[in-house]
Amino acid sequence: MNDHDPFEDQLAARMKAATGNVGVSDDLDTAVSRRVQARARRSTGIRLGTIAAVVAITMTGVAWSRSASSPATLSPGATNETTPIDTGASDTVSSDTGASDASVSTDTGESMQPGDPLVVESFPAANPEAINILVTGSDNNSCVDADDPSASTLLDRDGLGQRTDTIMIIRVDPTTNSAAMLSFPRDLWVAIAGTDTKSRINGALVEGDPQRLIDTILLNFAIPIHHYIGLDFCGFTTLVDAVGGVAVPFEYAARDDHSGLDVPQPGCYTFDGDAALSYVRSRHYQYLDPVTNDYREDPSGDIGRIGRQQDFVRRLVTAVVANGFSPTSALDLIDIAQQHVITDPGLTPDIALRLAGVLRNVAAVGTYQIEVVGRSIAGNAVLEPQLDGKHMQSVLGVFRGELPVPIGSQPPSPGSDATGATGATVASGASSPSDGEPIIEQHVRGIVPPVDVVC
Amino acid sequence: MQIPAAPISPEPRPLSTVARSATTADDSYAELFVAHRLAVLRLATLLTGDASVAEEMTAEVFAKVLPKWRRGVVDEPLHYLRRSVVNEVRSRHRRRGHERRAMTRLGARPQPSTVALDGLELRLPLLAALSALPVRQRAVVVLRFHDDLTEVQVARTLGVSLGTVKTHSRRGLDQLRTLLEEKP
Repeated sequence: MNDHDPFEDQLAARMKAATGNVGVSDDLDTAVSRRVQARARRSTGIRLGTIAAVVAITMTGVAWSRSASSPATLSPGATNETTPIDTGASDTVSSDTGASDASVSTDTGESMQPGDPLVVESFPAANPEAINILVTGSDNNSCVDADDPSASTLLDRDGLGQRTDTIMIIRVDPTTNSAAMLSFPRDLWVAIAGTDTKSRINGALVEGDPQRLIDTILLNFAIPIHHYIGLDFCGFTTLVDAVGGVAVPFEYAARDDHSGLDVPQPGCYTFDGDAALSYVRSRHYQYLDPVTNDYREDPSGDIGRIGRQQDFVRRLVTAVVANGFSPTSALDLIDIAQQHVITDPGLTPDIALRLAGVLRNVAAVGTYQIEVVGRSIAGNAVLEPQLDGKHMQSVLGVFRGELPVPIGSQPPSPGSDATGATGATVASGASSPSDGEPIIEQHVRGIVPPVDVVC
Repeated sequence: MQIPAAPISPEPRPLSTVARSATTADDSYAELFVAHRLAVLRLATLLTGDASVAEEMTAEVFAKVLPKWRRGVVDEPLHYLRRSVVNEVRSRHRRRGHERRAMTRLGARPQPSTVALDGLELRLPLLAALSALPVRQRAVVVLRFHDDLTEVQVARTLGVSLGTVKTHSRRGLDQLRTLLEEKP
């Protein structure tokens, strides 16, 4: 042993200083224990996934129960949280959630970037009846199997909020029978409404109360939300099972040791509920490279996952529409709607029925993502929104009600030849408009099944 | 869309093979979690240089050690946990290699990362310097100087010889000295 080296002391001190704050905040505590739970619960550690066909389920569920003349309650007693959401067609969201949120509305009003309403003469005015539905997919422990040996230890801890893995807005225009989805990566770095801080967007969803998330979306993106649907973990798997599974085409064999995904060979693969969850939650998605015969990980991480989620949701909606009205499926769907879905009270059976009708007639749902740049802020890997690009502005314009919802797979829109900010991880990739009919490119990044292949 | 009647799907891996008498073991594991979570998280933070990765990794490590804990093969939990963290970091390191190659194939450009301000400048050079070390050197240095383990303890934790620890430690320290002291 050599003599004592002051550098060693200094190094030790610096390391300890560097980790002094690590894990001290409750947030982190929650995050870690939640992840432990999630992993321990399913041996392979599936992370909570996504959903959105909930819209369709809820609606078909309601539609069925109506035609069977039994009144359907969309705000289930089990989750007795209700959400004050302005149900009118107005483009604002009232935020009268209560005293603690008193500051929210003013904050929203002050710092909201209205995003220079695009005035586009060559396009018809957006339909004021179109509405935005916020859909979240969360793991809120509702699916805990009491017989699971790990339940006693790792679950049922109080104070663990829900974690939201999926946040998307579905815009439905009843008059043109069109719909579009906009996904928000969960690591999106945004100003949280009602606070002075920035954080990941999924931190804005308070359990049972989506108001802060709604305000946060309005604040950062100037997109109003008219209705809310929250689906949990369990609801998703039950839903997939209720429609008899969802088939997805795979170009390559795929797996994810973290989520438990295992698709042994290319071709159509039908997922049951649990397997579907392992697919839509997969963040370490690996595909079998046919040339080298090696598994390679989809390098796009969360972005690729969102792409696969959107694709899956689209296929799920199709399955729900195709199978949802058979008596057995419909009963399951009603059950799901009552147990695993929270909606705002304003989403009445009347409205739901109408939306269900629209969704059944929609030719193709356009899928969009917020353009982002990956950054490391305070040691956290986060995604910073890049909203200034013309293309992104067009997409936002659609969801703000300034532009019509693109119809079918060829969405028209002004000015789509600009890509996002330079160096964006997810640039829009928009190609130049071909025949004077500009296109809002749908964002597809990462390893995503071919949209046009149907199983 | 036609839905085949019977969905084929991978069977979930059997967690249920675990003995039923796991309840007591699980209770003690909960205490273990509370007691060591922070240590594991901090170790992971220094080894990965990324708080959110460390968070995930901590969860993963605790989840992976649980079945072993139930089977009663974990004698010294903290050692076991630390070793698991180091192994996780190493396998992650291997995966990152695959990722980088895939990135290059897809023509992606690496993103420059920015750094937030609030007093973090101090620790960032440290994390950056640490991440420049080979994983095993990094692990040895962090275990010795952050976790205050002796060389013998480090050797036992990592399952390597004392000589290996000394070598890694010396090289790691030398490189850190260069990296950290040439900074203003």
